[in-house]
Amino acid sequence: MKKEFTDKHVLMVNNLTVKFYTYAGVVHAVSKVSFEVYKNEIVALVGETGSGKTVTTRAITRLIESPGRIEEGEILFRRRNNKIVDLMKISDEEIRRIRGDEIAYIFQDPTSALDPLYTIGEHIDETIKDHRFIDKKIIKKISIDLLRKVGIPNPEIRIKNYPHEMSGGMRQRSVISISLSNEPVLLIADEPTTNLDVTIQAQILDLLKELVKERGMSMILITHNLGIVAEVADRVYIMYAGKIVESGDVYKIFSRPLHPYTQMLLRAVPNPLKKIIKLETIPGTIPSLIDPPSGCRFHPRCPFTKDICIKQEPPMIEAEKNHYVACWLYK
Amino acid sequence: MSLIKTEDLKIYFRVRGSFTKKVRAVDGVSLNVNEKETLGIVGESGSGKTTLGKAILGLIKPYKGRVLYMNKDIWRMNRSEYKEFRRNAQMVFQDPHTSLNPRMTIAQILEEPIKEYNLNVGDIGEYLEKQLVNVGLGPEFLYRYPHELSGGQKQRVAILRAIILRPKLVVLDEPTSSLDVSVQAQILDLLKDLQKTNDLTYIFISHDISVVKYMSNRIAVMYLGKIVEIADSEELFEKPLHPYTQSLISSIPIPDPYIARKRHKIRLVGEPPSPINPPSGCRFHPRCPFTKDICIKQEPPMIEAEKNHYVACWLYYKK
Amino acid sequence: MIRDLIYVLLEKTIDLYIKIRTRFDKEYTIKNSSRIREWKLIAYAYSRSSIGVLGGLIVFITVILAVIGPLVAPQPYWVYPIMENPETRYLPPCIPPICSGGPLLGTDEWGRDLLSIILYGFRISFVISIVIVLLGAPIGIILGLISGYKGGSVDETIMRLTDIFISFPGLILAIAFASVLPQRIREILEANIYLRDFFSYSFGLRPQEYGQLAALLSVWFAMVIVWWPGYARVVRGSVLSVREQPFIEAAKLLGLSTWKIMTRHILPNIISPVLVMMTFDLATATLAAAALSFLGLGPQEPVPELGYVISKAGNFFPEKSLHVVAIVGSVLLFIALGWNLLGDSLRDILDPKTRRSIEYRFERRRR
Repeated sequence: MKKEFTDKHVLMVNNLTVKFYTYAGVVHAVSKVSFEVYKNEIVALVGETGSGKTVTTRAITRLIESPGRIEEGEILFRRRNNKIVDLMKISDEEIRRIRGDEIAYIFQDPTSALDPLYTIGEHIDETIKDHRFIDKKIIKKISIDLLRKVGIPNPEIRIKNYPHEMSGGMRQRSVISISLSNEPVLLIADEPTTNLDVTIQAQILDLLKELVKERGMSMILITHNLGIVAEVADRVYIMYAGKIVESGDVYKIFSRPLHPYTQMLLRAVPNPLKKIIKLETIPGTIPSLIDPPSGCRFHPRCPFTKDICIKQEPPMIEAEKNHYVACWLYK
Repeated sequence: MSLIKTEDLKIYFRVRGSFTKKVRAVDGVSLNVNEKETLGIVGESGSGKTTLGKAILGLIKPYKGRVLYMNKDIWRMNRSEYKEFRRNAQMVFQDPHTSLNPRMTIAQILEEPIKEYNLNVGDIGEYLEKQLVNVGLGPEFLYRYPHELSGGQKQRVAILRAIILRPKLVVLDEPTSSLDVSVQAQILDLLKDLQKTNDLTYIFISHDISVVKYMSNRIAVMYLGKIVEIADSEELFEKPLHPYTQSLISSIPIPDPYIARKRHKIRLVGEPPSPINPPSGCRFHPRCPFTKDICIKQEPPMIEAEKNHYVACWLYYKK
Repeated sequence: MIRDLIYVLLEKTIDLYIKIRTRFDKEYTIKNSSRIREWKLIAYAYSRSSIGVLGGLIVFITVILAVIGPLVAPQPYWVYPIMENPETRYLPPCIPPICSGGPLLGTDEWGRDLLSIILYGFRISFVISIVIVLLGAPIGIILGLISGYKGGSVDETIMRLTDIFISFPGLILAIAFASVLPQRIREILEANIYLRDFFSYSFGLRPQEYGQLAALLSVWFAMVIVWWPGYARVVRGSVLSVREQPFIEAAKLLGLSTWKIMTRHILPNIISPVLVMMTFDLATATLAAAALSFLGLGPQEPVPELGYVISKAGNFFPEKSLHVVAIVGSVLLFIALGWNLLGDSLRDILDPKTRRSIEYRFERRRR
């Protein structure tokens, strides 16, 4: 079911497969994953450990290192100059130019993303200089504006701060400002608020939403927290054991979750606004990706397993408008 | 019947390299925990909740104030009283990977408390196998090393170790924060079941207020070493009084996009202050949207604003 | 090929041990299945390490020679052949088939058969290195444990003590001891015959040499004193990182005594680098003891301490005594090399990071 790369598309991933060749065996981290990102939207990639969400986003800019290998896949990306390229096919030099410039990352731990020996100003300076030729004074102005934009008070002073002189929330804001310094087309945020306090998290999520809206960026947000997804995302992709099991508009997914995994995931998260007597638990554990279960990978834990689930992998079908699911219950 | 009480508990730590500067981790906390209930303690980083939990268990010596177990000061107990307390006050830690001795088998880890207190359980091997079933593990785990278990399994062992002495009190410090969502649900339900069958009293510490609400009867909200509000769980969520609590609840991501995007949000300004140099008066005043003059000058006392609902905030002080 | 052989050998030994233990305790195998697997894993990792196997072989030879050396030495060390025949001094090695009828490795300045000297020397060097490490290490480990765990003023005191001892030039101490102690020790040995005989026979010497034995023991004593501080520091550092771990707090919550926590929870988790250190130290101690004897601070004639033999041969080097210096020097090299290779391999085996890849290869092999 090959889709067309339309005017509204920024990114389209088709049949991405990533395998890790370890001493323990071949880990099928990501298996034939396809998804898309449109202009000016926030897409959430949801999954637990081992779902493959992080590997998928690293693979977009070929950040996979040995023993990992991108086996197959097509990644179409609309560059700033409106040209459409396949990120899998371009040269190493070109993809390095895109990284940090047109596609920027924000990682989970702001402390390890920052070099303790350099000030924030120096970080931004380096990121900009790597991709553009701009006068030093202009870089400084851009940096101060960026820091102010992400909500850091007294940016003229803060620009000279070292990472250890800042709190966790400020560090993450700094990381965001560094990622934004070249005005990327696509921002990939990997669990950007997991290590932060809930009140700071709320501030950062608000900030990200605002930035996407006013800069016309697109964002892929990776998280395991369904609450964050509901707050921020426009569309959602649910991943399990290296595959996408359900996807669609955020309202549809939450009001009518189709895949049994999605349903159980939603019921396993305590909603503080409702009185819950007992949380629903998902029996079993996440499967090993070296020897994934046959057929549908969720079948060992699924309460609705049928014969066909064990034998054949279900295809992704459009259950309703803007709502897709890969499950034999809906054929 | 009060099981654990703290009276104006203060835990200060000396700052390295300075003789005068102190980190006021816990700054005057008075709590009461009754038998068989679950008290939730919610707070963000720097709130002092973990320090409070450890102080209640006697792991940290207070700078000032008292911790009372069954109305006896734990730092003034005689040997046998202290042994009794020690046996009845246990803890489950946040990180299952470092809370079990990597060089001991599960059997050895679980035998230790039994042997230390000379419990008469008959054949230890058989006894332990039965106990493992109670936390959802099979007997094959008994002679394995911790590194052979998954995070969820390790946490179950940690929980079993905590309750194997049939303690009265178990302090749980973020017991599910390092676990996956699906595993978290299993562990929380296990904890609830164990509480019923063993008549346990829990102090449940977490930064995740949704989880705390699910587990607790009452919740205490901590900010910068002080308790700012205590109430029954439902009451706290329906009617949060303290501006910090309101903001905390409003910041929780709600897994429901309609509500999430429609609801009124109270966002705090700025960063959490340092526990070495806390702000004057009410500690929350620099970030509070409702700050008045008195908030900067004087610390608000804890008052009973509504029945069984206490808050320390000048907004609710009626003379 | 050799690897598999070594592994099979070790595996059979482990299985034998298990069989014996199971005779006494029927459940032994079940209760210790994980532990047994650990042992076999270590055996497997060891067998795959070429330097480990080589080192082990050398150490094995060293130990065998140390044990049987004095018993199989062809010539006694206390007889000086040159008294009767001056020609026997510094005879060169006579190795068939080039030469025949002469001493295999030549003779020393007293005409003593060098091979015999070396066989006695193995025992002396080995015992002294073992004693230095097996006494110095525990002292250092215990002090390090207490220092690291207790912290505060106890920590400060012990660490300052360690600083003093570490800064102490061992040589000066040895010289100082060498002038005072041998006299005292001699008196003790004279008074206590059993002690005298015990020490003498452990070193493979005759009781008559108790005077020289006194000098040997004073060297040893000086070395133990400067040996422990290294361990104290290393152990203290490891303890500092382990004691913050939650499982230690859990042990405190059980009301365990400080001693139990230190020995049962902290010690097993820090012992690996200490074991590696001890293995390397055996090499260092062997050479250090030889160096002190070389300087004349240890036992003299007729005790054939290898370092001393080399020092005496230095007077006629290289015209007459080249073979003595070269051969005895090589023996010291041999002993030290064995421990060093073994220690190197041990460090790799005990490293938890390399563990997983070894584990998987091990599992696959078992299938």
